[in-house]
Amino acid sequence: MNLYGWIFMLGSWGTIITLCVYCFWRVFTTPDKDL
Amino acid sequence: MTAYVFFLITFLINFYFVYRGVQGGIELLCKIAMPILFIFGFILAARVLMMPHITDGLGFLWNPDFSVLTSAKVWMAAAGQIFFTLSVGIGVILTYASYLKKGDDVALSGLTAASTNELAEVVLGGSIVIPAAFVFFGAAGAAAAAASGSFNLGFVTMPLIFGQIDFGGFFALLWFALLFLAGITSSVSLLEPAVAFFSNDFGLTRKKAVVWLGVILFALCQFPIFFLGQGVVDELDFWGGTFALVLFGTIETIIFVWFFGIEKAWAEIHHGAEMKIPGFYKPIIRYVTPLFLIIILSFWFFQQGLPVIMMQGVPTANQPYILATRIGLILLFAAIAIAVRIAYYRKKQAGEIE
Repeated sequence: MNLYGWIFMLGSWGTIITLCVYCFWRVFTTPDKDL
Repeated sequence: MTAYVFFLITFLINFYFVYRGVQGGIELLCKIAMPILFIFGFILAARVLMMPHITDGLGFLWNPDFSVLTSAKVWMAAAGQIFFTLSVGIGVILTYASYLKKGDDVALSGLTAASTNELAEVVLGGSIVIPAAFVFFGAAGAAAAAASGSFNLGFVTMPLIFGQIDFGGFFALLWFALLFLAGITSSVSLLEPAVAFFSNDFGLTRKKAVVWLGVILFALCQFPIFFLGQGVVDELDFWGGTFALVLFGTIETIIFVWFFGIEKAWAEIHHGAEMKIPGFYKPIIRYVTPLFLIIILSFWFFQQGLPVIMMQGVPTANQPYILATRIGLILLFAAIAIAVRIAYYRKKQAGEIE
């Protein structure tokens, strides 16, 4: 895998996982919040 | 015969969950199936990422080829993929949105659904099939497998790979269970708009609506099943699963932001929302998204439209089946349009709409 490949892959994975963790944290820490 | 029996079993399971209702059926199924799907996905991705030379396989998927950005087909496929996986442009999100309570948090639910979806398909899905195909079959083999369509990729390429690794039977079991759960959670969700239409707009009970829908869909399923080899499913997948999604997604976006109005839309999105969407998204939703989708559709039509419509590249023997599929789709669309019109007049006569 070339440098661009690593940047795209890790950038995408990082963004997605960060968003996921943030969303579930907001859902579980907000009282009476249900999806 | 075996395949047809499994179709019948799957068909009945689908309608069993839809028959049981949104909360008692669809929600219950998703609550059980989705965590299992993710566990299986993580195990399979971990196994594939431990294969030798896997970085070459990941490179095959992630090394960018900027030259393909001039291909309308790529943009159309990408838009169709994301719309399908987020159930946009297909009536599903509209139907489930109608079940929301006034104070439900649309912004947080939407972002959570989108990010979890990306986790499943980009992080997990992207780490399993294509990289594994590259490791075992090389660049040409992986490209051929990807070009042969998602059906072959899942049901032909992956079993060949599992046949060559230790405990392949166990991983194959996880893989097919994952595909089954992914498929059934999607298909029951896709049935709900039709059930809601029959029951809300034609006054049928939910159970009667499910039975009627089951009979109609069972009849419609026979042609694609028996003529799968003639490219009927791929044809349905393109028009129903890619083109129509982008087209109807574009129409929905235009209606939402230009006719309903961006100010009202913005207020609706934030009603009951704990999080505030950054202000720069307003012009993106209002101008960039609809214009971008219109450009993709126009770009596709001028570059690919005529060859696709004229069935260029379709084997001559398959062309009558493809033509029959298209005529069937047009007739189905016309029947749905007539049903919507009848429902509209029924509601108008009942004084439910002005």
